[in-house]
Amino acid sequence: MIQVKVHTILNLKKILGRGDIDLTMKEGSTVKDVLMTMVETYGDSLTDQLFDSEGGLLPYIRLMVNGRDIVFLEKKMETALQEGDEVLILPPVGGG
Amino acid sequence: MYQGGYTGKILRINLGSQTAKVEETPEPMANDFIGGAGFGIKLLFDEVKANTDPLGPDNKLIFASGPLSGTNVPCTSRMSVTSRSPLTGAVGMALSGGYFPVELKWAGYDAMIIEGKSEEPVYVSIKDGDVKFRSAKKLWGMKTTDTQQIIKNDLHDQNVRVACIGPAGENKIKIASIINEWRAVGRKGLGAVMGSKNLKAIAIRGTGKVAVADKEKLKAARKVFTEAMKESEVLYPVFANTGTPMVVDATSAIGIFPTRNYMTTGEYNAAETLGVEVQMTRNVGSEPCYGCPVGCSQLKLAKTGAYEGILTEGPEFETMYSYGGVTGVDNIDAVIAADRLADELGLDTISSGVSIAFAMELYEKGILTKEDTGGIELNFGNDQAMITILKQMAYRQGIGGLLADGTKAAAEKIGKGSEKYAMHVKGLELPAYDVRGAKAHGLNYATSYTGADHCRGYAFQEIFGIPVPYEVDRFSAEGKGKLTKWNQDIRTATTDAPGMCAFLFDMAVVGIAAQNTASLLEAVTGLTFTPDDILVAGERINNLARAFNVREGFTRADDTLPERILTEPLKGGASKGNYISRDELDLMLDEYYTARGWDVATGAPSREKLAELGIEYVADQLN
Repeated sequence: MIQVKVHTILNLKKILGRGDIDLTMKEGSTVKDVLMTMVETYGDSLTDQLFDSEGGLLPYIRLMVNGRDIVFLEKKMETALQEGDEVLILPPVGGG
Repeated sequence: MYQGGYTGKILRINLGSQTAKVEETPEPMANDFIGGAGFGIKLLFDEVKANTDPLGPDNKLIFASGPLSGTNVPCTSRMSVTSRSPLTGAVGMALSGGYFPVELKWAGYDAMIIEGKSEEPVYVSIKDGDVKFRSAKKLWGMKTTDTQQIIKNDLHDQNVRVACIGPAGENKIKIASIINEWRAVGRKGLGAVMGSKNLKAIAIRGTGKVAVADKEKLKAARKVFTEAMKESEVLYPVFANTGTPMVVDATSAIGIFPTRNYMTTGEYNAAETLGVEVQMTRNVGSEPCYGCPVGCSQLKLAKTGAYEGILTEGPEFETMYSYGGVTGVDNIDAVIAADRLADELGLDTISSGVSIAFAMELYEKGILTKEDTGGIELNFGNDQAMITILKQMAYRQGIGGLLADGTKAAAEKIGKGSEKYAMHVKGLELPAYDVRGAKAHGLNYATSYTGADHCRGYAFQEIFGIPVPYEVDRFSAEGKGKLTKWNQDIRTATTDAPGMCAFLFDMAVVGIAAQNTASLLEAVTGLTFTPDDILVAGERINNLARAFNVREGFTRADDTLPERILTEPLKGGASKGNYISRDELDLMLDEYYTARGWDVATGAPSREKLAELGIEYVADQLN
């Protein structure tokens, strides 16, 4: 088993009730596995924020592993996580 | 003859002779520079000669709204103020919203050029064609809210809109702002230019309307724009309810919200004390700009300690950084109080906060001592010290006086190797992004014509992950030259020049921005604008601004970043280990100049490029 940290903000944080969550996952678990685990735990309110009606990740949800956007990781959602990795799940943001 | 959008008139005000005259807005200038910042930069380049003293009578101050301002297109009450910056010596251009920008148009003017210097403190009142010069002797020394109110009383018009300076501008503090209503023309020391002219304020009221060339066409273009606003995933309700401060949470999450003068960025989560959840406990309403259905501008009330009862508009995200993160202050009420104080004194919140943070680091390193600070314990996080120094800055007193002209000037006076802790580019303090984790944003700081300015070529791809025109790896240096050129040109052309709030660009029309601007401009003005014309206008404006800086002696060597950004990897957070090495900066600069068609060795626009953009006359002044 491995320990993975999940960090999120704003409306997603509200749904989770906190910004940081520690997950214990099987060895070889992926980013997608983390999302599935969280959806199982937090139910439809989280699912609606992350996925479209066909189960695809909403295009404006930004996922990062240790700060690197998964778009630039070779296996993207299938990226295998390591002990201590931090997964960021970021809702759309603007301003600044 | 203009059919709409443009009033066709520019008001020229000479403070020395106390005269005003109306000139025509040249149609080629409208076609080529659109308006707003485009007009400001064109007029600045043509009218302010090289080596003009920014605080002398020959410098000019150009207020310009956009062709969309004053129409029923939402979120278009925007104006630029352009001058030679006393802080940087480069182009000083900053924007503001509120109501003043539309009053300028309704009074009948596309732009207003302020020149000369009054012998005595003066303010100018404008009601349509009636321009009066009035004594400001009794206003001199007054803070900005009181100034606005007294002028309204004097003019027997509570609806007149006032742009004014506070004591900081009067004292020619080089980080002084101009305040209109609750809004600020915040950066580059433009308030000091007003002060140098003995101009306390401009009060304006317009009773006219802005014509629209094709109302049916505008109806259609406006529908596309407002539909994009409605479909935005972030504009409603999140941004409307929280405003810019939510970016504290977003930038903290990705490890680029700067803390303690960039020494500890990413090492702790500043959003816990300064983020949206805390801020919402202080919100008491909003104060939208004219014609804005979003209303991101939040009013906040301090609730604890010595700050209890202080109300301010904001603090915006940038100020949460400058009086919070970068100074290490974690008391939201202190940030609210400092924001109000800075606006009352007429100080740029970013430059003043970053200058105080610079001094805090020097104090903790022993470079500045208690003797230097006049007994103030200037440690990070000391909010009372921050408030005290802000007051000192406006009056050039004590340690605040040393910091009053920004970090570059302060470092030159202090010496002892302090320059390497001064977080500025070309003298303009860094805004709220630690660009070690956002390299295109860093290149934009290095190359923006105003210095370290997040508003010129905001790299939203890196900060918000918006994949337009394509997905961008924030840690990579490659490809950032072309991207930065695109970011600078499109933002200039779709927000700064036509008079559109930049937040609408990021959050509503980013994928259709050039087309959106072209459609709105065509409908409003009756002139022809294609999306390509829009982008070329953005490029033209950026080239002319660059040419102004080259004429002032700026070269590639000035397109750099603070030493800390170039040498110290981030020690914690989601951007840990990253920095912009000198080699990476060089690579990005080479690519940027190449993309721009500029000389790679000097960073100067080539004659060929200037000719291509229809401004070859500029090349004759660059040798």
